[in-house]
Amino acid sequence: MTSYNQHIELINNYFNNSLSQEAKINFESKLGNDAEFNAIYEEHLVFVNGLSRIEIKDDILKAKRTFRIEKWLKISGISMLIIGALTMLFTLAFNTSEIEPASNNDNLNTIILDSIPSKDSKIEILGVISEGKIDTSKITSQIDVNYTTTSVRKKHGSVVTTKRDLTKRSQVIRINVAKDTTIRCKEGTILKITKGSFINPNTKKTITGTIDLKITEYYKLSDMLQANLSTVSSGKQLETGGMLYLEATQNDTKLELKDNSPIEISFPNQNQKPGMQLFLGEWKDDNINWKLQTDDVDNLEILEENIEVPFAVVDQVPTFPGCENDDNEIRKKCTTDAISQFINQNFNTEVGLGLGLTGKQRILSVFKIDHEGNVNFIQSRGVHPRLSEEADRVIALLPKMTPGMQRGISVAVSYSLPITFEIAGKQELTGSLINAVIIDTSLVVNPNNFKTIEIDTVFSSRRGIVETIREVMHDKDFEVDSLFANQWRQYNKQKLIRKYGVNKTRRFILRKSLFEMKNTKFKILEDDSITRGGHVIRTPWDETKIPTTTRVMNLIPIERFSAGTETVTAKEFEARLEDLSDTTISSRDASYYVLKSSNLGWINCDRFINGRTKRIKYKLNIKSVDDVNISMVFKSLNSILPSWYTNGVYDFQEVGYNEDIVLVAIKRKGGKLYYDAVDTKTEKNPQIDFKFSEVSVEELKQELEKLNSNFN
Amino acid sequence: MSDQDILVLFKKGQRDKAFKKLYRLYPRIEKLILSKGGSKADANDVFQEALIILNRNLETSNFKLTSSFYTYLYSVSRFVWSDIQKSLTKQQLQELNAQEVQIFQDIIEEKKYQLAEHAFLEIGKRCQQLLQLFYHNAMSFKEIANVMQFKSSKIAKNQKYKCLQKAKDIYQTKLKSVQS
Repeated sequence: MTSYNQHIELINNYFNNSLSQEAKINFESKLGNDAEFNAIYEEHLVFVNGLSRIEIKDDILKAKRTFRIEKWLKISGISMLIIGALTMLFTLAFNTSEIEPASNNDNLNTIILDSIPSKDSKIEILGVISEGKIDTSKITSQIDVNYTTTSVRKKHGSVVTTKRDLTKRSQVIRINVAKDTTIRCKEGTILKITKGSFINPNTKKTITGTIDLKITEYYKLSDMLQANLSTVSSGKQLETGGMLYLEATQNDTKLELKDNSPIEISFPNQNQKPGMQLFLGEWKDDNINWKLQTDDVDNLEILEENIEVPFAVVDQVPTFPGCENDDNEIRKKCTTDAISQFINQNFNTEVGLGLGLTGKQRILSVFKIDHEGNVNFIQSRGVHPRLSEEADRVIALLPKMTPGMQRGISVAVSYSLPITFEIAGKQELTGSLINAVIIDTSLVVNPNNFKTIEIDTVFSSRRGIVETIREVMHDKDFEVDSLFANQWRQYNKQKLIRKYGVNKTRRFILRKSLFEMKNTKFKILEDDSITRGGHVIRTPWDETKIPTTTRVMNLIPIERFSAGTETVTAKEFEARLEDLSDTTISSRDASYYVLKSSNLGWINCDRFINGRTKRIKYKLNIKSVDDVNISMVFKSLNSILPSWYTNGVYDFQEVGYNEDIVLVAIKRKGGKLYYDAVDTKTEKNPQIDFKFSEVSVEELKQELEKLNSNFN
Repeated sequence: MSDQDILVLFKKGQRDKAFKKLYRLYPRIEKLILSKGGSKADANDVFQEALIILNRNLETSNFKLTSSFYTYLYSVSRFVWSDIQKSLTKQQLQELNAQEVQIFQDIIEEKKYQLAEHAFLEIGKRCQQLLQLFYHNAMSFKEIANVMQFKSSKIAKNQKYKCLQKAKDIYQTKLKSVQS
């Protein structure tokens, strides 16, 4: 053992190099010679190496750990850096966007207000000023621009761009448009803004939420000079009490004020000078021009209304189209004649018929021709509402006229037009104009046309008081005469009979007194409940127990169709159609008749057209000179477009492009009807040839029905 | 961070630092092992083995590293894994080039040592500590007696011998079982 140990020790020493050189040589020779020693040596070597492995492994593990740690440190370090860099970039980018200079007032929504003393003191009505859409007028009494307030109406389009920067610092205030806001600005200006006053100029929608209001005040001369503001109004000099620049934005969209939502602006006191008025500024090149603005549009309207001139007195009467003339008198006569004739032609005297009226009928109409020449404020009063309606209708048909002028300004002119006509005996209609010039107009009814209007009686039944009484009385044969019915109504009014509840829970309360009256028809029934006060609660029978016996009669005139200048019943129409000698019915009448009786519908083409992007003008040149009526039927809709015939061309005006259509042509010649239908598409410069075939009315109707059913 | 630096570290004896740097090459070798059907743990072991072999070779003076560390470690790892898998056919063995043969021999050699290591791990903690103190830390018996609380250096010496014997016995048994 010990030798082994010694051996091992030797070997160890050998490894450690702690043997002397001599010993080493010895050792090595021994290794070479002694096999056993060699074996031991080898074994030991292995072992020692094995041991060392453990050490190495330790080192490796250590290294691995360190490596891992370093790796993670690196990663976290880099990511921190990246995050840091990103945040830096982000904040930088964010900051730069805020530093945008709001330089130009280059838009339509700015107002620069000024106040100056007015010089004029006359009431004058000015016409509408062309630029902007501002109606202005100089108003007499000095309007003091007091601390109280003046209203400003901001209108778009009135301010033109300026190239010059306004260098004065402005205040930007963020306000919530949902509330009324009062802002007091740095230099004392007070702005009062009502809620919901702003709209988006593109969409015209009212703005909600918060908006940014930029206000720049110019009270000091230096400020004004810096901004190149001046005080001139169309060449006239103004004295200023202060200027204000207002701009409203939301998310970079410039906003406008809603009509009738003015901002109240109060200029601070020290700038008070008598006769101050409000002006709106417009930049022309580098200079600003001021224009007066009304305080209140309402004022203007009231004034306008006040300035209503009677027809007889007005300088220049309103002119009926075609009546233009320098001489006012000639114009007056022409216009009054034209109006009367118009009424003549369009008044349907037959509305007076069938009403049970006889003798002279009078309708008084008043209307106004406003400062634009439109006829409005029509009020007619006649014996029968139908007469008044007819008068209203006809007057409304009057064309737009040149408005009346008073001292060079358009004014509204009032008219009174009494219309009188007689029914039965000599049928004559007369109308006259009041106010200075009275003209007799006679509307004459052709006696041949005057026939009794054919009326259909239409019956319908209705549940009325009789049924109700029977339901309450629980007796379907209860006798209800008009006396009792009136009594019932009376009791209802007096609250002796009261109804409450709905449908199945309907009940009637009948008061005690009803049962205690002499000769009363009211009796207490089995399933009545009695209240504490002695009154009766009754459940009425429902409808099934009481049959309806009330009948209502309605008189409806038979539908009439136009045949030339007359209107005739369907029967008459068809008779005339058959009649070869009859010439009153045109093909247009015929097609209208046929279409109407075939129940094809008309659709508002506007809606339709909007759905398509492209529209074209559709015109047809038809060889046949005969009286043809052409309609365009759309395959995709139950829709028909009529055409207007002028100079050989059938004009359908604008239609959607490339639509599937059927052109329906109806011709009337020699008392016969001819028909053709052509399938085509809407395209420019159409070339259509119609081949007409003769049809009867019935056949025609059927053809058209076919169209109807094809196109669902 | 080049191979030269790593070599320098090895020469300096800063083994662990060198290993640390070599660990950068680990991911690729891990991928290799994984692709050959090994797990991450396997890859870990293989790489460790490769490092050990590398280290041994570096400590012998006649070792020349002709390629980069990565290439060397890669080859070694490949062979180690193949050996573990026992997937090297005789034919493949014959087709190895000179360098590969060398690597292969190194691996085989190392396996022996591995066996010894395992044997060592089976002798018990106290013995292990003792032997480590003697061989690794190169303590004198006197010092060992101090640390391990032996009564005298002689006892320490005796103990060491016994432990060593034990380990060797185990080794022999293992060797026999492996060889059979």
